Amino acid sequence: MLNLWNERQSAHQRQMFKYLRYVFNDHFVLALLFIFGGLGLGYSNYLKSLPLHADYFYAKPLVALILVVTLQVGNLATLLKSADIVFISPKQAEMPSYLNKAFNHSLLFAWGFDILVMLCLAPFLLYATTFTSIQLIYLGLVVLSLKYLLLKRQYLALYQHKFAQLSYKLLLDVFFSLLICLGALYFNGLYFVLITAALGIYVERMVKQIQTQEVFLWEVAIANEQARMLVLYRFFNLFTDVPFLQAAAKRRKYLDRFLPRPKPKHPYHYLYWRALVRNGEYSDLIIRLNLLGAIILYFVHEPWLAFLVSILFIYMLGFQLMALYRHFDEIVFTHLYPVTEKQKLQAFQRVLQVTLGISALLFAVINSLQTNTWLLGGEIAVVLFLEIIGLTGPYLKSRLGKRA
Amino acid sequence: MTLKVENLVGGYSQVPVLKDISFEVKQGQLVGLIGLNGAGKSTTIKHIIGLLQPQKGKITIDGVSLKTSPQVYKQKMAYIPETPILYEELTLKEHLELTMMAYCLETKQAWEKANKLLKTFRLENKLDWFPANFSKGMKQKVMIVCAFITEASLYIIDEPFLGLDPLATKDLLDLIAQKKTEGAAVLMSTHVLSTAQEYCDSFVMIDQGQLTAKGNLADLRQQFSAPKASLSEIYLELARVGERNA
Repeated sequence: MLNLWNERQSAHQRQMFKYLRYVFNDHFVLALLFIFGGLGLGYSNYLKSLPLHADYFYAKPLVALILVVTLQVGNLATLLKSADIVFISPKQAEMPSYLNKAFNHSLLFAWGFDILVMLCLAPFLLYATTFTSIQLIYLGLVVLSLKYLLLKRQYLALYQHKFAQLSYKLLLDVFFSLLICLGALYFNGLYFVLITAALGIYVERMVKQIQTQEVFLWEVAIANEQARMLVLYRFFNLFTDVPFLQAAAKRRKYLDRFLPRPKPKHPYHYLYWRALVRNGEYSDLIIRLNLLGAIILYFVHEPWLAFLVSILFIYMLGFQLMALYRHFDEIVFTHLYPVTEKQKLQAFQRVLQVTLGISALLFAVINSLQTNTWLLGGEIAVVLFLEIIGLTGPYLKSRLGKRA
Repeated sequence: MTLKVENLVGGYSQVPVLKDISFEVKQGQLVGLIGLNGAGKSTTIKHIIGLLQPQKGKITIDGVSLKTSPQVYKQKMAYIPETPILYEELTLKEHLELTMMAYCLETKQAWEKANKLLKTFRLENKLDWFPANFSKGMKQKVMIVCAFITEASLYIIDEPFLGLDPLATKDLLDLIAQKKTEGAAVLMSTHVLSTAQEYCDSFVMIDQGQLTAKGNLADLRQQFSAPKASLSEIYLELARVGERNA
C-alpha cells in the first residue's frame, strides 16, 4: 500500500507539473510579478504609515478572520480513484498506512501555505498591535496545530458520516478555529499552544480507535477526492483544455423560456441551443470571452485598437464554438434521424450567427459608451457583422471540410 | 414490411468481420439474433442501422436501401442500443420532443403514446429531469419509450433485458408483441435464451462472423438433429463446434 501511495503521488505530481506549465506561461508570470510587486509595495507603504505598536482595535479581529479563512485552504488529498472501490477494497486493513501517508503529505502542503500567511501577517501584527515576537511564534504554532486538527476532522469523515456534516464543519472548522485564534491573539498564546497540542494527541488516539472499529467509507472518500480534483481541473481549465473535465450539464430552468420550442424537422436547432445554454463548457466560454472582451474594450482608448480587439474576440469565440458542431456525433441517434447533413449545418450556422451577433452588439455598445458617440460603435458593428458572415459561412465550411 | 440482408460482407476495416451473411425479418416477426460475445451481432446491427457501410452485399427495408434513399430508410427504423445513449443536456421531456421532431411525428398523437408509455415504465413524474443521471435500467426505459413513440416499421433492439427489472422486461415484450400485430418487424439480439426461445418467431445464429443456423426452433432442432433440445442447448452445442474449429 505504501508503494501504491508513492506511485500515485509521483503520477499526481507529474500531472500537476504538466498543467502548471500551462498556468505559468510567460504572460501570466509577468502579470503575477506585477500584481504581487504592486501589492507588496502597497502593503509595505501602508505598514510604514503606521506608528509602532499603534494597537488598533480592529487589528486582532481582522487577523483572526484572515487566519480562519486561510485555514480552510488545503484539503486532505487521498488520491483515491473510483476504480479503487473494486480493486483496493480487499486491502481495507492496510488503508490506515496509506491514509497516514496521504495525511502527512497534505499536512506539509497546508503548513507551507499557513507559514506563508503568517509571514505576511507578522509585520502587521508587530506594527498594528502590541504583539511581541515570542507571541507571534506561539500564534504560529497555534495555527499549525489548528490546521492539523482540521485535516484530522476530514480524515475522520472518511470513517464516520457525522464528521462530514455541515454543523460539525461549521462548529470545528469555523467557530472553534475562530475562538482559538482570538484566544491566542488576546491572551497568553502558550496556553493555546498547549490546549491545541493536547487536543491533537486526543484526536490522534481517537483516529486509531475509530480505524479499528469502523469501516472505511469508500464512496465518501472517492467522492471527496473527485470533488477536490474537480476544483483543481476547473482552475487549470481556465488556461488549457482539461480532458478529465466533463462539465456536467446544468439544468438552468430559468432559461427554458428563451430556448426554441419543438418544431418539426428542426431537431438540430433545438439541440444546439440546449447544449449551448446548459453545457458548462460552452456557456462558460461565452461568458468568459464576452466579459473579458467587454472589460478590455472599456479601457481601450485607441479606435484602431478597439477594432482589433473586437474582431479578435469575435474570432476567438466563433473559432472555439465550432467544436459544438460535432458535440453530438458520439450519440448514435444523430446518425439515425432522417435528417440531412445540410439541415444540421444550417441549424448550426444560425445558432452561431445569433450567439456571435449578440456579442458583436455588446462590443459595439461598449465602444459607443466609452467614446460617447454612436459613430465608432456603428462602424464596429458593421465590421463585426461582416466578420460573422465570413466566419459562419466560408470559414466554417472550409474548417468542417478539412476535418471530415 | 421486410428487412432483407443479402450476402453481407463488412466490418470496421478492410479485414471483414462479417462473412457473407443473409437473412430476412418479415412483417409481424420477431427474429432473435444470437451468438457469443464477439460473434458479430453488434457489427451486423451497425450495418443495418447504417453506422457501417457494407463492403459487399445489400441491406434493404421494403426494397429501399440506405444508399439510394437514406431519409426514407431512416424514417422506417427505430433502434434501441445495448448501452443507453442519452443527451447530457436534455431533459426526459426534451428527449421525447426531439424524437418527435426528428421523425416528424404528429405532436398530439405522439404525446398520447408517450404518456401511456411513460406511465407503463413509471417515468411520468421524471419528465423534467436529466435522464443522463438515471440508473442503467431507467436509462434503458427512456431508450425504449423514445423508440416506441416513432412510427417505425422495423425495430432493431440490441440486448434489451440487461438492467431491466422483471416488470419492465414483461412490459417490453408486450410492446414488441403489440408492434408485431400492427405489422412491424423486429430484430433483437440477446443472450437471454429462455426468453428468446419463448418469444422469438425465428432465430439467426452467428459465430465468428458467419451465419451458422437460421429458422424457427423446429428448424434448428432438425439442423442439429436434437429433436427435444432447448435453444440454450443448441446454442451451447454451436459454441462447442465453434471452439473445435477455432
